[in-house]
Amino acid sequence: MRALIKEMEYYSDLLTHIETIYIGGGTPSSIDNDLIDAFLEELSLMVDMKKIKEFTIEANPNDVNEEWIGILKKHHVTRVSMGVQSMNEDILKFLGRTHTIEIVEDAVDILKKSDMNFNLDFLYAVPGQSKEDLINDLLYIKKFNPHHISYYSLILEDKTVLNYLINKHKVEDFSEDLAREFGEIIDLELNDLGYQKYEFSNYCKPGFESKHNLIYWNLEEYLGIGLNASSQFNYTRMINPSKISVYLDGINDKSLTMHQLEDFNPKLETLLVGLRKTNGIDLNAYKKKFNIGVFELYPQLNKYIELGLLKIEDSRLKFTNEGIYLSNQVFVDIV
Amino acid sequence: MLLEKREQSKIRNFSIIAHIDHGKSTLADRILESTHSVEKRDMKEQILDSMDLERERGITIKLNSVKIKYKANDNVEYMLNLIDTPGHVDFTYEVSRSLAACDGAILVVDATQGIEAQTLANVYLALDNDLEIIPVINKIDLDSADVEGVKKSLEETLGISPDECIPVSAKTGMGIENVLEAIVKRIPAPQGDIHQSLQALIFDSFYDSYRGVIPLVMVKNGVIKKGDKIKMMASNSVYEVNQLGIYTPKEMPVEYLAAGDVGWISAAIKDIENVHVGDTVTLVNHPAKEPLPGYRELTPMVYSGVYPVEADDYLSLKDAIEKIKLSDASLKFTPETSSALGFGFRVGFLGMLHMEIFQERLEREFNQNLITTAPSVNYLVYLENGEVIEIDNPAKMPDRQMVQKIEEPYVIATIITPNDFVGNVMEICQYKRGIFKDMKYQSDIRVEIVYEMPLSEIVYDFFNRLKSSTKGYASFDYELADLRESDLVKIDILLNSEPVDALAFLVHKDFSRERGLKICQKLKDIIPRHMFEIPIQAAIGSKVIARTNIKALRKDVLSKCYGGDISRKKKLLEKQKKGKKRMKSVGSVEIPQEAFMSVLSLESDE
Repeated sequence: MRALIKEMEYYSDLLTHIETIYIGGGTPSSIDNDLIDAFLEELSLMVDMKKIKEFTIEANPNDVNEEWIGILKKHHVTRVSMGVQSMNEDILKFLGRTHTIEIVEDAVDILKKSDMNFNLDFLYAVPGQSKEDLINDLLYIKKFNPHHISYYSLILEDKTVLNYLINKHKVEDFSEDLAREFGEIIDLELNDLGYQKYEFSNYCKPGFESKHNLIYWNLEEYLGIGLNASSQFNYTRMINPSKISVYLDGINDKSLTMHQLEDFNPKLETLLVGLRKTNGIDLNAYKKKFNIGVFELYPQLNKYIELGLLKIEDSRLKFTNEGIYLSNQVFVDIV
Repeated sequence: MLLEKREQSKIRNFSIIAHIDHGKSTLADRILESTHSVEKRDMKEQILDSMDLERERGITIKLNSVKIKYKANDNVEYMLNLIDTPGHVDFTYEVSRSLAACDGAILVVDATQGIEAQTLANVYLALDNDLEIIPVINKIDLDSADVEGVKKSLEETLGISPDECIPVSAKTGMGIENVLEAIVKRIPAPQGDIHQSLQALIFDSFYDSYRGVIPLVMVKNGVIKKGDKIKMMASNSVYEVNQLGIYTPKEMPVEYLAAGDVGWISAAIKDIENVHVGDTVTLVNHPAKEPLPGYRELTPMVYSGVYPVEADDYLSLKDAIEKIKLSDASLKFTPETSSALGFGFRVGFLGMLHMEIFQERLEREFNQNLITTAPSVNYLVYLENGEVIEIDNPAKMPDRQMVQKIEEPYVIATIITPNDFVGNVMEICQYKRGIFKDMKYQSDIRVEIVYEMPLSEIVYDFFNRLKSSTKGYASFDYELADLRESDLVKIDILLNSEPVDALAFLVHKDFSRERGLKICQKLKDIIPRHMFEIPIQAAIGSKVIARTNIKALRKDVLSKCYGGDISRKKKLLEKQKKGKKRMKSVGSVEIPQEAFMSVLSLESDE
């Protein structure tokens, strides 16, 4: 915690310009109340809270209680993002989550009473999940009525335990066709409930987009504090050490070399992240910023307009509904 | 040593022959060690197997020669030239080449395994070359060793007297002295005459990027020295020797190579085509009247198309194949084109392992990105118009209406197995259209079974099946017998309604539907889903005999991408792109490399 504060002090000039704050990376809610209270106190000294338009903290349903909410409100936190994942206890167990349906219900009650705006994370295409399970989750969403939903399809990345189990045939992989069907059910149901899909996996009630996450998707500048945190400013992207000892040493030595610089290619990445938004990217703004048009740089994109994966509307380039689900086919062609 | 003081009577040229895994390379290691040919610190396992592939697979592919000094019990120092040889059936040709350079051979038999199919084949080869055979029974340190039993079966099967057999353990070094003494006493010195015109047999060669082609030679008659003008008798090309030497096993330059010597020649030979294994080297000034009898030209058993993934790499692939051909005289290749794969080569191999090794060498030593088509045998096709043509590529098979009959090669397959597995072996052979010929007991528990079988059935996964149904105990060897008429049909594979010539194959009519269905299924699993549906069909002529579909891709999207993820997600996309690049676009369908070989593994999935 001291290292985090030290790192923030190092960036104190930059911190005066920020407009959104997001405390995430796992479960910051599991930190002791006294400690989070002290940390948020330090933070409010360094940041002009009047300028902050959105201040989100991630939470585990187990940790949400009135006292904790009180601390957040005292320190101007405006939004809570809670990882629910599923409302089926077998699936929760499969995912290694320790909360229960009852705990989620209680946590949502407390959030609602707090008048804070909140997001719920859900997962679909989890091995073993049935269509009934999905409908059940959607019914809970209707009941909880959050301002914002992040609905991810479970991705099996290399080296995860789940992937290992699937390869060993201990767990049945989720079929691509069914995942697509589930995705479409989610799109339809959430639309009926008054949510807008504004990004591949994010839905919100009008006006409740995550301002912080839009910064990522617009390839704007952000500052990451802490272990393995990523920052992007001054046409540079860099990442903090992922090893705690290296990070702590770096902070103590005020070492500038602890960051790993990452390859930053704004002409490409504007498309890779910008097209994740359902209203896509502004073609004129792109040309103005980079002095070259999207189609001059990537003529192969024309093919995907013909194939019906991309479309141009009001001089914005965006994915069609079909295109969203096959977007990697397009991205792979331009990386 | 000065040429005048040289005593040919103290030279012994020998090789070691054995079935795979019977301990040939270990015995060679021990011989080198006990004669101090290799310093302890330089010693490593399989020291003569210099290719990575050889060490990894624990086999010998190429021949190697090495000169060993040995002071025998008679207090005389002898020069032993050991020529190491491959043990696998596919490399019989290499064995026969090295045997032609020897006067004797050590026959290694595993005391726990006994005589194997390859042991027999090797002994026959050695006898054909009039070699003195020293039978060595290896692995006597193991509990399961049955020295007496092996002696008995050697006597019964090959007429080798039990008194001649030397029991050893190559692992512990036990008995190695006896082997060295036997080499000196039983193997005759080379017969050549140092005063005659030079005749040196090229038994191998390789390419060195600094020195050009380096031929390995066995000098039968005469002497070759540094500065000599030499002539290759078949190609008539002339070179000047700028260096020559031996292997100890390190490369060591010497002043001359004389009758009975084995060594290498460096003569700034840049043209790969001018050096033929089996050719005779002589001197320009005092040429030999005639070349030594060369090697029997071997006909390849299986043929496969080899194509670059990227059309631009055609020339570099050609260059790589030519360089491998230098040290692999049995390789045959001709250019061919495929409508699906573009420009490539049809390459003939001595067997499936030979093909695999070739592929791996192209990929690893020459960095080639390849597509190899499923192997085919050479068919003789009688056309209605009276013409007879050879077809080694199923895609080139004429229309059925034009074909009067097709003949395919049959082999005589010899399988040696413990008697517990006789039933299994016969079942496989019958299934593979085999015709039972003979069965005899080598001992109480080991049986030799002989079948006549179509070579094409051996190509398709016979060896794996044999191994798995005999717990790995059966050994197998075959030789080409004759051509026989078979009721064969060509199966075309259509992807997205377009025939893909490189996927066509020939199969016996009785298996056509079954194989057609299986390959459709297999391709469905191998070819990734595209943005459109792809019908897969197997057809004989215009008649579709099997079909399936690859459904259109429905979901290919990254679920999450936030600030900290961008670099990692970009890498994921790049990886996906790389995977795509390794595939071959045929029409609008992208086909992974392994799809072209998929017909081969149809059986193993059962």
